[in-house]
Amino acid sequence: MAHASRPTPAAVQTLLEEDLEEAYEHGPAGYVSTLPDGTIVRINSTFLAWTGFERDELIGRRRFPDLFHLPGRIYFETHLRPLLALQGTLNEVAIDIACPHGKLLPAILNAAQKRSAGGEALLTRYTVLDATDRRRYERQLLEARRKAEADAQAKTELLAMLSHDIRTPLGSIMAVASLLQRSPLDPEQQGAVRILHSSAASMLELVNQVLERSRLEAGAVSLHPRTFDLRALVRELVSNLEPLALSKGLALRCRVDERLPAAVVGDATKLGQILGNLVGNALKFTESGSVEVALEVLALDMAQVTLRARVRDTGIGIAEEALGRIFEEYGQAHESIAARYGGTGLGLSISRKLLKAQGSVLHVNSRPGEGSEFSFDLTLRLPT
Amino acid sequence: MLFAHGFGCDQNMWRYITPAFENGYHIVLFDLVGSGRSELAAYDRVKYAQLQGHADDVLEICAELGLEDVIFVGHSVSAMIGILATIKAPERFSRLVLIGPSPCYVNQEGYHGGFDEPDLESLLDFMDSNYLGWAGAVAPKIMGTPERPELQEELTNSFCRTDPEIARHFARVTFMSDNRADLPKVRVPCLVLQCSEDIIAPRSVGEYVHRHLPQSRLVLMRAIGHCPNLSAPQETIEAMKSFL
Repeated sequence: MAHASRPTPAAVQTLLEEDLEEAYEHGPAGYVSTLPDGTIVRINSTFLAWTGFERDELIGRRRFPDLFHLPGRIYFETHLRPLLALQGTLNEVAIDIACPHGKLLPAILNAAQKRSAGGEALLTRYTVLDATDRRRYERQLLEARRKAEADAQAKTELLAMLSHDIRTPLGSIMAVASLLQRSPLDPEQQGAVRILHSSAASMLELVNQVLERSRLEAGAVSLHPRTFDLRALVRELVSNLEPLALSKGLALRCRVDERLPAAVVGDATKLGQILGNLVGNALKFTESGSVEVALEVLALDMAQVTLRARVRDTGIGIAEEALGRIFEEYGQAHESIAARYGGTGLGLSISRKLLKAQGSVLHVNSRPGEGSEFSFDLTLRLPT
Repeated sequence: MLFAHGFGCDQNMWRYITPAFENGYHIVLFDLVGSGRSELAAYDRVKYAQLQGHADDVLEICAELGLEDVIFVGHSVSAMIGILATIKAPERFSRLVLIGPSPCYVNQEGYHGGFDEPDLESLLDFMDSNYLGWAGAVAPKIMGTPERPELQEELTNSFCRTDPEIARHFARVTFMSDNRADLPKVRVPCLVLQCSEDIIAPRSVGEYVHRHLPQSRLVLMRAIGHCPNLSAPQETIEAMKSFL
């Protein structure tokens, strides 16, 4: 009975070498080795089989990047060659290889450089993976994302247009209500007109916020810096809101740091919007006590001023678990609060986005039943 | 010396060049807005729809740091950015070093820029496929440089922060620009470093730039490709030194 004889160690060694050679030549990846200038010095059969190139036309004759589809070559020269030079490797880079007869092979490249002890590049080995399927999925994904974005954009624009169209007649309603208020009316009619006016006003505020939000979503936060008087802006804001504070029996105070320069450079409209929103909120959610606006100078030099703006109230406060939610769109601390105080819940989210566009962050400190404090730091240039 | 990097890279690309000039020059490096570690939120598509937007930034840097007699070293698109800055404020600059400059990448009547418009459209399309990988699969993996840990963080940070939409916009602005008419307006001496076999800025483009700049020296380098400052730093340094 014949039994299998063990191969000699030398024979095993030969087999392993053949095995390695075969893995290199026919494994499921293309291998291309190049000199630092890109000249191909070694290439495996898998790559040749995928692309249809002949070994002889490549070795010593072509540079590997020259086989890339043109956009890939541009990308390689501008992005990948610097990256390879700096870090010595490339990982999962998408490249199309332009095969003979006009076929394109979508590929994923990895590269590793062999370097001398002195750090000089000697040889680069590229691993080429066939990415035909992956590229197709990626493209579908990208198209789906583009479409979703376009749809969202269209909705946003529609919303903006509608809001705008609603705002115009609302303005007329308010103007007429104001006129009516000044005409001789009996007490019952006066009451009715007051309701008409205040309902139209709160609707206008709502529409304005929706409009602002659409603008922000459409990516249209552009800053329009100009020189303005921040003290005057705050004074005006406070005097505009004074009647509301008075009607609720609240004290509305304003403290401005004496060191605040008279003229600063910034987007006055947006800053007014943010402060107006914060003070408006404070008044809305405070039943008794006071609301205070404070501007404090944190740093001041010839070129710029950094200030901290704070709006503090003695209102209902915000529970800790609701603090995160209040910055979300349409997010109010609790549904019952929305029902009682009204509003879209857009104001804080808008303010936060407007601040972000100016490189600032809106902070909140609050205790239920004791009140809230909203604050942000902002650096404004000084006019030259 | 104020160094400005090209499209697709950031100030890291000067790391092999600047040490040679540290004795004797005040070196200023920066990232173009939208690249590297710049504040991405500051990328204003209207301002940067023209290379002039970046040139104005260069002048702002000069003003802020009080730079005078500036030797501006610009690679690729930044060569044109330097030219635009010099035209607007010639008093600031003493010399320009232009590495692989191209005033216009698209072939025009009687001008060979190297690309046809459809090529560049396909580049933008192509960048999409890469940035899908770039943003997702690639960026986290770019960390692997165990033998040179000092590179790790810089590259990870700078390359991860490349915003695909900004890169696409910058690519369009770069490759669709035509600043040929600006070349004759430059009033300072320029060095044009032209690589051999540069697909982005072919030799004929370097020669065009040299011909149209009132005072320029053209050096044809042995280095191939588009980034001699990385692939052949010594040759680049020598050419710059002999000009300065």
